[in-house]
Amino acid sequence: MEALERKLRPIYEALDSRNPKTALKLINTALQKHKDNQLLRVLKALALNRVDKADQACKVCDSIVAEAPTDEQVLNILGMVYKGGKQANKLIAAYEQAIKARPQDGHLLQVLLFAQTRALQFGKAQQTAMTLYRMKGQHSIAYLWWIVTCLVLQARQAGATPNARKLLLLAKSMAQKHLADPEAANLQLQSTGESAEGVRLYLHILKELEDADETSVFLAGPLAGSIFRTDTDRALATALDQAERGHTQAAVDSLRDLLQRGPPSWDLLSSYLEQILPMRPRAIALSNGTSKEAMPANEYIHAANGVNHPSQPSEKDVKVDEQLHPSQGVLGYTQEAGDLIQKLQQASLETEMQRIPASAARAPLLAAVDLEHRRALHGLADDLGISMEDQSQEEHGRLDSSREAGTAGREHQKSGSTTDGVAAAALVYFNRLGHLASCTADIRRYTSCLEGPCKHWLAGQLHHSCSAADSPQQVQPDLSKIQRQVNAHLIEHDLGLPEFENARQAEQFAAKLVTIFRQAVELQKKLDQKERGVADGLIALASTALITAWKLESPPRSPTYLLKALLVLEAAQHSRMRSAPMRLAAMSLHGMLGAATSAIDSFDALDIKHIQHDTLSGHLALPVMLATLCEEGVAHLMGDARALYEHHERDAGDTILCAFKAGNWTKVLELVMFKERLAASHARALAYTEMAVHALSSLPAPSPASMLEGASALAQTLQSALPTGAAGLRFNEDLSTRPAWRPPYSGQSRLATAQWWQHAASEPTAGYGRCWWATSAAGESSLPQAQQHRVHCERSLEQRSMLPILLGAALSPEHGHAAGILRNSLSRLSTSEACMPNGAGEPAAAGSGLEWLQCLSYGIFSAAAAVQAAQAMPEQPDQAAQEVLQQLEQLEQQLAGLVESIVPELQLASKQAIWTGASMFVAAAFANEEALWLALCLQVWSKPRHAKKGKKGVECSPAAGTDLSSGLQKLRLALGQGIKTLLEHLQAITHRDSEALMKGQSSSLVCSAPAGASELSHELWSWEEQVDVKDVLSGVLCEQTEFLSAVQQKLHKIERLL
Amino acid sequence: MTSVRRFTCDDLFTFNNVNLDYFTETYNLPFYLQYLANWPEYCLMAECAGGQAMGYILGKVEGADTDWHGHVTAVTVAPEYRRQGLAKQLMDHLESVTERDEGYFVDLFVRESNVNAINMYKKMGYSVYRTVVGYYSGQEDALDMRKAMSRDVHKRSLQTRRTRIHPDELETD
Repeated sequence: MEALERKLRPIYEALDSRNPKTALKLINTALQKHKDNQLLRVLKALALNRVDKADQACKVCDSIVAEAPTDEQVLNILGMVYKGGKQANKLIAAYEQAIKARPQDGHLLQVLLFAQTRALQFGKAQQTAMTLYRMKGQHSIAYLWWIVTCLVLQARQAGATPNARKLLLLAKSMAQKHLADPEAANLQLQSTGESAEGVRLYLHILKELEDADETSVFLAGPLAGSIFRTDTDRALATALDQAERGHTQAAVDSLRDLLQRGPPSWDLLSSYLEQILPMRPRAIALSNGTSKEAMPANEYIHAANGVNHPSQPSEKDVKVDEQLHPSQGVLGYTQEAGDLIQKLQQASLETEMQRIPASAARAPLLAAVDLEHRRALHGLADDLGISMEDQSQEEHGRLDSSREAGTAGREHQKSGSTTDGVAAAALVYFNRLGHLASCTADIRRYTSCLEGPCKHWLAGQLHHSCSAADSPQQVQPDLSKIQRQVNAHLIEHDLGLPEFENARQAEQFAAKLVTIFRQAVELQKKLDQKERGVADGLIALASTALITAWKLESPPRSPTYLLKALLVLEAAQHSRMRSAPMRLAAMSLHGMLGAATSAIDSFDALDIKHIQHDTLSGHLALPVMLATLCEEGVAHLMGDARALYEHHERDAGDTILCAFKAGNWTKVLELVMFKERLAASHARALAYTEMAVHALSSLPAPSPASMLEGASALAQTLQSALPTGAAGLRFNEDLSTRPAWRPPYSGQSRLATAQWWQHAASEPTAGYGRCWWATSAAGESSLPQAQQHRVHCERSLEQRSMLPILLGAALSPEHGHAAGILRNSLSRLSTSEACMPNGAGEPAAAGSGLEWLQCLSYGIFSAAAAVQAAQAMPEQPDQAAQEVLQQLEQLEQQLAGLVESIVPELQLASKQAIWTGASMFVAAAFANEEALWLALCLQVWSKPRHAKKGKKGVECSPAAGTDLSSGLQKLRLALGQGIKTLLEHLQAITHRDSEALMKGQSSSLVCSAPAGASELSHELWSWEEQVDVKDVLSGVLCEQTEFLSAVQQKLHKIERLL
Repeated sequence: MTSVRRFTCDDLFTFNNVNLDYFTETYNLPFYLQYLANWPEYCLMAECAGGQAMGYILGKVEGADTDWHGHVTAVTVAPEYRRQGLAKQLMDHLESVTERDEGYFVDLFVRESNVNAINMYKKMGYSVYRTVVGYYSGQEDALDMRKAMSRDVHKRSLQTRRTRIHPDELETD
């Protein structure tokens, strides 16, 4: 034995010093003498694992497990190898076997418990924890909570079944028994954070069981104290519990009392107002949702076409508690709330005078806006008579009085359609706190809901308030004044204003915003360039105004205003190098112009990484890279995203075990849900799918055989990687980071840019606050737009993820089987309106390139189904050939339609320095995918058919065979001709006199308008000396040329296949 | 209108308005999850009325004997919510948890060049305990700042003979 130990030492040293090859040599030598030694063999497995021979390592481990090892060291090392190979079940089986041999070994049981927990096998873990609990008795309370937590997790897995309730009741009874034990209760009372977790878990169980009475008793009891940070927190929870049980009156009384006694926190104020005038339910529509949704910022305007207009809240959705109001009436309570808020405001004003920051006044001031918002929602608002003409400060005074009279008089006119009160309260908020950077964000959820004359009135008052604040002596602006101006403009934007009559007006407005920005930069010269400046928000606004200017031009539009927007962003970023909103706006704009490198540079500058790949990369960067055929970028980005998901899949068990060991039972639940959420992430599914499609479209030497092989393998990979059923997807994307002019796209990512040019470009840009995606967690909100977005995303993802299957079937030599797959898949896709051509496979309208492309995408596989079916049914040659011919003709028409629809824009592009529009992106998408798929299919379909061995082949009738091959030949020619036409036009763009055109473009940037144009260009960007228009334009031109060249290369590649 | 609550895993999906700021580091996923799994009481999120993240603090409790202390790993506030006392509010919460856990002091590391932050911590009662040479990837020194909690009656946790140490000499990671 000693001899063996002597041999083991250098092996351990080699492994510790990360020298597995040396270790392997030493082990092999040692094994010659001790060939059956389990420790040596398991060490060999470890070393093999470290030299990337995981399969061999697992085989060695499997042979050891078959011998039922009991040695702890052997088991530990087995764990290390199996963990790397994701073989948790084998490890658990090994421990279970060992425990059979040593049933009283507490340590071994504990290791088993850890392995089961790490593998998320909560049923087994519960049993093992129970054994340990019984073995160790009262001194192992942690095992009891471990059992309770496992029961809760199993109940969760059981879903809405009677078994789930049984498990919860069992969990409750175990926890209750422990908490009722005086000794244990005493321990809890002295508890720190860890033991309070047991109490928190118990409360969670009561809530899950919807046991309102017991929850209430428990909240009032001594144990609940340990889970609240302050007495106020506890009192708030108790009041909310009362409200939940229908005792609204008691809840209102408690909350009022708390507000009168302590500092007015927002939690208390909003809870108080919620009891009096509730808002719509916030529950998320998804059944598997774990996150609560904040009230949508723009609920008036986003509720589908006025269904939930503030004046007419749905009876079902917004109910005033009837119990609450018989005695005092809803108006009485509203009046009382108004009075209380006023008192709190007064108190905060006094606090402010004691030199405590004005921010302390935020809660009561915001509560006043919130109250008005609720009143409007319930149709209780006063019509203050705001009209478009009410723009003066005097009028404002009148409105304030009116407001007071309205609330004091109690004689409410239920005009029911007015948000005047919200506007008036928002103005008060601005007047007091307009100097805070957060002012706009604070009231966004209210201002973004305003409609009608009051929004114009508010916008006027905001600017009036800014100019009125100037004292005659104060000529120079100061930062506080600029901050107020900035907020006034940002709030105006949230109001959906200003409305421009023409492009020139929008441009002048942009120049005004940039001027304020410049003043701020001047005043903040000492500020670190990486810090956020006071007026940074105005640059995104200015670029949005210039994009609006571009939209206001009559088609065909010149790119001048878009380039101006780019120049504004460029100039501002010299002073604010790391501003995320500016970077994201620049990235989107560069992406729209096909300037992939600059777009990616802007994205990379934000150092997006780790979890941000789930929330940002998929919807911001991926569409740009796919649209511009940036293959390396796609591979890199999706590789990083996949690493996030795979690493979490690997590590989540360890983290959950950590939470168990630390006794943070409720965090265990949270971490399990987080793991599930990430596994069901839409961004994850998108990353896997796009990686698969990318692998196919970027095959270096594509051939039918290589494509068939790749498609079949990827179809399998995708099947195992994607969550089953798209309906269970979670939308973690942080859509609030998108510029106001760039709505999220729910179709295929590769077509997002083309789609913007096609549709969004002609739609007016809403103010940021009015964008449904501007709120936190908007992707999962219950707004109709969000629901629609999710449905479309799920459909297009399903369509996209089926591509390898469709492609594999289209190229398969197993005709009958392939035809079946194609028909089934197409039938599934036919439910998806996103990909279905209209009727006979033609776009409904005149047919944009994008629409033709989508038809073609479907048409290829529709034709493939017919071809495969024909080849599988040789006994009905003429009928089958007829169907194939029809499909081929349709494909021909679609090809012609596609080319014809994009050629005019390509022709135009050859006369411009910087081209714009959807066509180049449609051409790129076609060259990258549809043209390639079709070329490969044509190769396979055109091959002469041979009878299968052992079967008597039936040839088509001579006439049908001739028709079919001539149909295929025609299609081949049509594809070739289409590619040739596209190449000719792309060639014309490449050979245009770009230098002369650039000169023209440069001068149009400076002289686009008759008078004062050069002044405007100075105000917009040339104030920054480092911005050289020529450089910026050359940069875009250069990147567009690169993109063009990539498209041409793709098309040439396909030409060679034909 | 600020609500301070425990930081949750789901906050990682909505904290971009805080983390897209240049000065806020986005750590790898296990980093956040380990903190939440082990020290949930020391990880707090401040959110505004609409549920948007305003800022957060991540911390832990560590050490042994008289070195048992709360540690601030990251405290950050979204640019638009700065200068409103939010960082102080979050630090106060962490200090109160440390008090409850009977820690002797709270400490934090800050870049020597980050003068604004250093001044802010000084205002909150923190003082420079020592310099950790080359703490930030060997590129920059860190100031180890401390504030004594009530358990450290004689403020011994603030006294040291070695005012400059190297990262490998730190008592805890």
